[in-house]
Amino acid sequence: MKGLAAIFGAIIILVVLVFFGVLSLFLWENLHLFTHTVVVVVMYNPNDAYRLLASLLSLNYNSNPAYKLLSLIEYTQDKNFIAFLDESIRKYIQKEEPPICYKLIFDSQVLIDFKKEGYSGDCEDAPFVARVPVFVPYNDARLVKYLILKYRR
Amino acid sequence: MKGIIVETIFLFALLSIIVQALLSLASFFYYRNFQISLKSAEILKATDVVESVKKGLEFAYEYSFLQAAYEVGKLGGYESSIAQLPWRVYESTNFPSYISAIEARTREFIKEYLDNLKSLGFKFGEVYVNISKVKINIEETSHGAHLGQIIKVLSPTEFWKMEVWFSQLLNYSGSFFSIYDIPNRTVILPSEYFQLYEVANSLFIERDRIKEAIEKAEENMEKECKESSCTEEELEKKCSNANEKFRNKILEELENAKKESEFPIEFIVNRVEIKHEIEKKNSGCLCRYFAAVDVKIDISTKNQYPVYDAKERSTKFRNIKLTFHLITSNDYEKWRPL
Repeated sequence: MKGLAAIFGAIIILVVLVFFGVLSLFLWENLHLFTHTVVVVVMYNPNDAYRLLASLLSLNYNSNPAYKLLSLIEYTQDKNFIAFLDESIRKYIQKEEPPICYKLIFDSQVLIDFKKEGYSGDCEDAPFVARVPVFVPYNDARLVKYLILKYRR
Repeated sequence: MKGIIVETIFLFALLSIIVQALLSLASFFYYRNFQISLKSAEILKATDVVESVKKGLEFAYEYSFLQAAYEVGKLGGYESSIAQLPWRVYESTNFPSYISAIEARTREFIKEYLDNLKSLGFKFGEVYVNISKVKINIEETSHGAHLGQIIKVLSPTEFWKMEVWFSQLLNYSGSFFSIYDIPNRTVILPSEYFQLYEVANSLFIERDRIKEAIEKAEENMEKECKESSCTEEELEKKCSNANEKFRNKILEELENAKKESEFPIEFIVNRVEIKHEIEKKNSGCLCRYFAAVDVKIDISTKNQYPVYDAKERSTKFRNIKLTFHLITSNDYEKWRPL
């Protein structure tokens, strides 16, 4: 009888050990997830790029809506307006931590490409990326183009 | 002794189960919180995307209107080339219902713009468009002649607006959320485009400015071309190429007519038929001149707008034109060669 109890006890310990084993596997999986860059970014360093683009599109430049000026940039190529956008982005990003690099792209045209002095990398694979649609004047190709912001702190 | 070992094993097993349960619970809540954080970040991102689209709606509506205005203007205010009619054929006139034509075309373009957002997860209901003129009184304050005297004047101002509304709210859906918002907007339109129709209506429908130009040209014909010739031979002697002279006088008068429009106007004369008749009177003879013309009229805005031209296959800043045909003469009753 006592032998049976010992075997029963041993089975329970075995089950618990197996369970722990399985659980630790999950923990390892979770641990892998937590150490993954994207997850850490979301948890402790949120992607402000979307917020920033939405704010950028709501600005006014010389009493004209920035949205309209941006959608017409192909026809106007207003350099002062691009400088204004650059300044606005820098102000916004620098609130927390100065950026290492940022890139503002409208469709395939790079409007702004900023790199901190001494930074040799490319902002192309920056961790913070946002892409929002912008309506452009009527044409035979695309009525919506994308405004893309990439930045690295 | 064995009893103590068995009890220890049981106690250890029980403890293990409790520790494991606690760990599982902690892990579950940690994972749950983590999931909530991820979802919150996704929702925040989505609201920013919706915000950006909402910001752009009025521009999509404005661009749709401009394109509709450009295309309808080229068709003389008609919605399609099939429905297109000359504005005037002698005394009978056809002034188009251009507002409804622009509304219909704008609706089509808005749909086309919004269809581009479908792939991103946006859904819109049926769209409706209404264009109307608004009259308001603006109170203007100015200082009078005496110090401290303030004069208030009510000056009537009018502008054109376009209301765009939908059968349902816009919907943006992700894998675990849906965002709803109002896509309805009111857009202020460039009034000068509508003034083109008003000017054209007053010059060529309410008045027949081309007929007036022909009449004026006849009035301005030289005396020797109008009087004192009772035969064609006499007329040719005193006023050679009389018909050609009359044609040139008409073209001169059309140039003068341009000055009456506050907007740039062009007359493209497609066809001109000219004739003259010598009438014998008691006091002598009088040569009367008649002309019938088929004219294309282009009246354009002073400002330029970003529009697409299908012929040139390009989008650029262009003046929006109102183009229409008319056929008229200086004698509606007697002679209709066109």
